[in-house]
Amino acid sequence: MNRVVVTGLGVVSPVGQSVRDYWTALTEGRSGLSPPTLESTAQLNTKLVGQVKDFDATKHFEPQRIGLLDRVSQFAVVAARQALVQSGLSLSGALAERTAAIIGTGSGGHTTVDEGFHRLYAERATRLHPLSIPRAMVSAAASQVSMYCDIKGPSYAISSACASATHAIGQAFHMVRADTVTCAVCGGTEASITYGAMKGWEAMRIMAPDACRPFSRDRKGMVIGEGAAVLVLETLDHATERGAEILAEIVGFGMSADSKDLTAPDPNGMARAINTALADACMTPEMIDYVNAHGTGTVANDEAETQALHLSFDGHARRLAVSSTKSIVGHALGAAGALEFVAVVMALRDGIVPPTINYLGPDPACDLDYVPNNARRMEIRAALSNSFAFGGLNAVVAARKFTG
Amino acid sequence: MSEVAEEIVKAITDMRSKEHGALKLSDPLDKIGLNSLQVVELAFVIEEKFNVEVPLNANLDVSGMTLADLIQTVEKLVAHKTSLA
Repeated sequence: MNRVVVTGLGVVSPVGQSVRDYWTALTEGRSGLSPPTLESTAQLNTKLVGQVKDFDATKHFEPQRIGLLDRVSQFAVVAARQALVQSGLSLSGALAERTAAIIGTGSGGHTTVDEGFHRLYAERATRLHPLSIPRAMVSAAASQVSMYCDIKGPSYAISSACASATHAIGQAFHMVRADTVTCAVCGGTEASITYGAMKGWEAMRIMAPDACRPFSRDRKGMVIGEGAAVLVLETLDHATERGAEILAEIVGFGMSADSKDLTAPDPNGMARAINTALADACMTPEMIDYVNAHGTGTVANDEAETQALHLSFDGHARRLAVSSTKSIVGHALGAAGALEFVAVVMALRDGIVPPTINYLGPDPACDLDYVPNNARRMEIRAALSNSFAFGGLNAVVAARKFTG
Repeated sequence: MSEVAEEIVKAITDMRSKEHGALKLSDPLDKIGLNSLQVVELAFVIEEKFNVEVPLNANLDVSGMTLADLIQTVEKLVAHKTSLA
């Protein structure tokens, strides 16, 4: 089996459209959440979202080709290009055929769907744009990444709601480790802050009106975000041979299904995914220093995730640094796991744990060290990235600092 | 019982499983046999029926609230709406 390392990162986020800007905002604990700017904002009750601001597609795509890409695909391609540039890989010939593109997304081209339906039902139009289907399909972002980045190996989308990106990273990890491919471009993308989708979220009544404050007392729910993050994975041998900078090593991946409820989280299901990731990595709980939590900010998730960490880590749980990136960028759904895994890679590399911001004080049901409000400099040997989706689909990636 | 009370009791009865006994006005909302998502669905049913905005949230702690409190809240909302009309 191959050892698998990360050699490139790319980010489009509410706090910046580069890894540098993103990581600076995370470590400074600077929120990217603000009131939504949508055409039909007047009808929305949503007070706060994590939108990618000032994203100018014309800076990244030729004018005549922009129409082929929904916002969700644009984000993915921009993040993938950044990651490939950082990795220094040049994909051509046999290597292109030995490279995979696995991109997670919860809802695919939602802007295209929302605008199309508005045209049909509100404006009473009788026809849609001819590219509506290929722009909206859930796999469109994976296809666009394969085309723009010259990737000719296994390429497809993974969709598991809020765990999509983590499942995609785990799938790519498996493929590189098993030598199915040499390199993989993987991650997640989401752009579903549309009038229709936000109305759906409002109906669930789980959105915070003031701030996203995971694990804190008086937390009032989640905040929807958007963006993309993409990573380049490759075999350690390949990275070493070409002298690439190795950012971190992926060592394990765990998955599980709660098999219980469409929305309510289950600590046992979460813990099984964590335990499987640790076993896959041949690690004991004591070897983990940091957990980037799913940490949505809902009453139910944060309590269940805390219980899951107690179940999996036992006495070591209280020694873990646990933080939620969603407090800063919101919940980017199908992109969340990749944005958060980028934070894990940077944390391992720089020895800095990004904070959980907006933390007001402890909730008796959430009794761990959530790195409240300020980043912490500390040695991180190994870390987990947790994603626990609606419908009980759980995915956990384990990574460690690369030390040779 | 008012029309509001009747509709709310009917909605809860339709939603929860049959083994629960009769509803009492003094029943706390978190003990009437609805999970948090069903409470949200209940709010939706009430809003659709009476065209009001019900301030129920899945993140709110409803443990201190009884069925009578909910009915009273909705009756006030409906009365307020009628007085505006």
